[in-house]
Amino acid sequence: MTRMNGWLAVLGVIAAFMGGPAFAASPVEEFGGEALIRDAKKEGKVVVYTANILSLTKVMETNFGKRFPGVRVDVVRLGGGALHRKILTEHSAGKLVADVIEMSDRGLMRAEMKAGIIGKHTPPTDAKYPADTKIAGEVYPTYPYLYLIAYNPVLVKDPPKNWMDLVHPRFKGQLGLVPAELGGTPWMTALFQYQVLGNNSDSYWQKLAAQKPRFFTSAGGIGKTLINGETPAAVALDVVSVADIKKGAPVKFVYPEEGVVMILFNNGITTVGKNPNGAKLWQNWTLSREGQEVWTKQVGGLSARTDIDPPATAPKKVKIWSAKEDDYVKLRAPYTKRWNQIFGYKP
Amino acid sequence: MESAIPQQAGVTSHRTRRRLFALAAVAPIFLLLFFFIPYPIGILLLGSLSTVEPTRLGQAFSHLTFGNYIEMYGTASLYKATYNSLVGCAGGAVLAMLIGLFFAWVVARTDIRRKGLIEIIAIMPLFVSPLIASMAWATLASDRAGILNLIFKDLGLDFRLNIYSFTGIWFVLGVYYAPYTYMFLTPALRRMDPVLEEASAISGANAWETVRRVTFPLIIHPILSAALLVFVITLGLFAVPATIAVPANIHFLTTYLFNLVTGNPPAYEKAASVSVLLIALTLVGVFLQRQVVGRRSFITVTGKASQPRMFRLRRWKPAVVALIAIYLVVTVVLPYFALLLLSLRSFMFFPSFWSVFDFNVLTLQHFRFLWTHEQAFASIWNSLQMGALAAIVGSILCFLTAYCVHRTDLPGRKSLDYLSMIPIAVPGLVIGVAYLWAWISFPVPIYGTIWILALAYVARFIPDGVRAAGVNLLQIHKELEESSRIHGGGFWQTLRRVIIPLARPGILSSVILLFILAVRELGSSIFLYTTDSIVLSVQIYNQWESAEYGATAVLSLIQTVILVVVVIAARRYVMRSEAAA
Repeated sequence: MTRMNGWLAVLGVIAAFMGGPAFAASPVEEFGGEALIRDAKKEGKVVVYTANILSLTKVMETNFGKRFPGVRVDVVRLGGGALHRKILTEHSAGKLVADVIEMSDRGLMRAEMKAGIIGKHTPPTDAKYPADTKIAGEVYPTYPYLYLIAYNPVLVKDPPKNWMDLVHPRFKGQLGLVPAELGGTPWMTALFQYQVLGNNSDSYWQKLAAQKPRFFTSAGGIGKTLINGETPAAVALDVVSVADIKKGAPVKFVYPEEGVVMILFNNGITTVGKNPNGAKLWQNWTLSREGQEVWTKQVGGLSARTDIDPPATAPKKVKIWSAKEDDYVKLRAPYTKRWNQIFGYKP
Repeated sequence: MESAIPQQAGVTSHRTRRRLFALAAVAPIFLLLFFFIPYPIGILLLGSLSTVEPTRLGQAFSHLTFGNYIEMYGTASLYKATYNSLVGCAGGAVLAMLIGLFFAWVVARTDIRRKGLIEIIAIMPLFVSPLIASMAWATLASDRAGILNLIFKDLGLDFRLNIYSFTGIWFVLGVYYAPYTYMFLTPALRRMDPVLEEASAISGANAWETVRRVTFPLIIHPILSAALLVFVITLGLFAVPATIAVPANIHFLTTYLFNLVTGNPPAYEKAASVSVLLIALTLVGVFLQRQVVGRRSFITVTGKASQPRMFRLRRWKPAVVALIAIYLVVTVVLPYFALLLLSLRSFMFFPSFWSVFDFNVLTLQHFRFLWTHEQAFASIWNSLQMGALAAIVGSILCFLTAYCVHRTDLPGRKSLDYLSMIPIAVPGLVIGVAYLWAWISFPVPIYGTIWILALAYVARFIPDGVRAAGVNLLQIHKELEESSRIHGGGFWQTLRRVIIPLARPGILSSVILLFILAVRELGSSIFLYTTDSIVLSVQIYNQWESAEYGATAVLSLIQTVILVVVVIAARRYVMRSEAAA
């Protein structure tokens, strides 16, 4: 099984100082060439099954459509667990119509690979992505999410400076978070808190639980409660709040010195899709410089590519952490149970 | 003397032929109900007992296990969630019953004016899905950031409303499910024969004594039926506890199920095993209701034409009007004000109450969704089509089912009554999976089309339709049918020319109810939709799950406008029909 390093190098940011690659491919080369574009236009569409946030998918879809007007993008969007169930059931009945699958949970993607759903394709930009971020030839990281600290600067005059500051008593009753068992992204964040902040113990969880945080079923919901003041400080998703910040909402990020948690959205083309060329074009484009700059400049997220500048809202240096895939899968059940006990989430 | 045997044989032969004919007439109903209820529920149960997906039955049967049940039913948190669900839903049902009864009484039995307007007010909460109602009230009454609490804060008061509590749950459930009880009780009160009440008045009883000792006992069955229906429907709700209960760390069975299906890997098989508990609770509820009501007769509609006895409000009129106005403000004005804010503001931050009216942050960006998303208008059109289909097909099926249960002596009719209630015991998120498992491999290629969604809506709301039709039928005396039979009318002729005309207002109410529920339905659609069959409710759900509350509010407002227009038109038709009857 592929393993990811516990600590990744600073992605994108150091590369920005180092400059771009010596030889930059042309956009058309990164898309897969004129022949692929032509064949995709003949097919006329690509069906994307995604667990990505809908508004962010729309941004990608709109820009893809501008670049390739003859290729329509049909999006089916569901939460990760529900999407996975739909995919498996449709596949078992021979009725899966997805050309591309996108989801953040690598464990679920692995299950789909095992079921023979994910096909093989190496995009032209394969070398731009570190080995730890992809399953070469099959699954690639299109949209990185970051879990970090966010706060409302109008309401919080003495903001948290790092993760350890977040458990200071002044934030008691002020925090919001998503319980670890409710999805891959909060689980990875909880694992970071255990392995890094707690030094492989539940000590950080104990301190965070003592803050009596309020629970929510999604990170998006927390993004809104940050703004309205219900939870003036929170463990939040960057891409959710970036959109609100652009609208003038009172939200600021803290990129703690201990690190931020990165969750990679996985993208794979299917073996059963009716639009294979459209699928390859979609994947190639989202992984290309053009596609990734849509993600960084318009959505405000980071890129997993080593040669793409970070968004304007991010600092020059960002310390990023991702879990080892083995830990992510094997520790989930017992650790989330322990998490629930400590936080009193479900007696 | 001629032997009596040939005559008895003739009578027996005639009865047997009638019975066989009746069975043949209702056989298609049984088959349809099997397709809609036992088949997908059976697949769901098979899924709970198997380690593989039940889309291929042979494979599923060869991987049977009780592991899901052992694991789930050995967990203390499941029972805590069950207790919370029972307490939360019972409180909501009681409040819904009280509110619905109040409105039904005012509209059907008092001399208040502008009854058409009051009727609209009484059913307005039905236009608001539970998800939207919860979202709106979280915006209004969140203990730290609720708009209403800003007023208290600016006045220097310590008092705060807190929607994140059992009180908040009872309030939202009670207020937004009161229309169910209202729609069940109003026909019963309208059709009541005034003779008994007049006899009570003649005997010297005052208005209150008449209500307490004559009127109320006669409508106890519809009251209990309505309260029970609200109770079992709300047991399967996800949106309200997810939005209001979870922040307070109160877990209901449905949020418990949600945790199971969002895990890694998603544990739908375990969720199916927990759904069995919900189904069992529902069946117990139905059984209790039948035991409480017993064999008492609640006939109020007879062959004689009559008008219900009207009570004069006199000095009580201002108080009644004030209560109706407060209800309107609480259920409609405030939540829609919150929705408007969500749809028109860039973000929802209010340093003070007066900042709510800061026009500098107003924007139409959330409305851009309508013309930047190709599927926006397609989803509206799909919703209308499927809502109409589900309402019409569902109403016919539900009426015929209720008729078999309440007006025939066919064997198995009581089981049919229990069976028809099962779908509402299973939350939409889980029963949606059951429909997916059951129908995806169907020989008729309906998967991926709008038809499968329409079927899901029909199946999902059979309990509502059957209950509504049943309450309606129970008010009609059998003498009317017997009179038709005596004069040579057959089964279908009696149904068509006697029962249906009398039951028409109730049938039309069922059609309206099923249309509203189908357009609003979220959970069971999300697994079955494709890009060609996307509906408004799925758009709303996806936006809500992505915390795009602005777009969620815009779509919800559109959904409300659609429902209001349809219902007003339908209600006018109903009232004309009742006047003609």
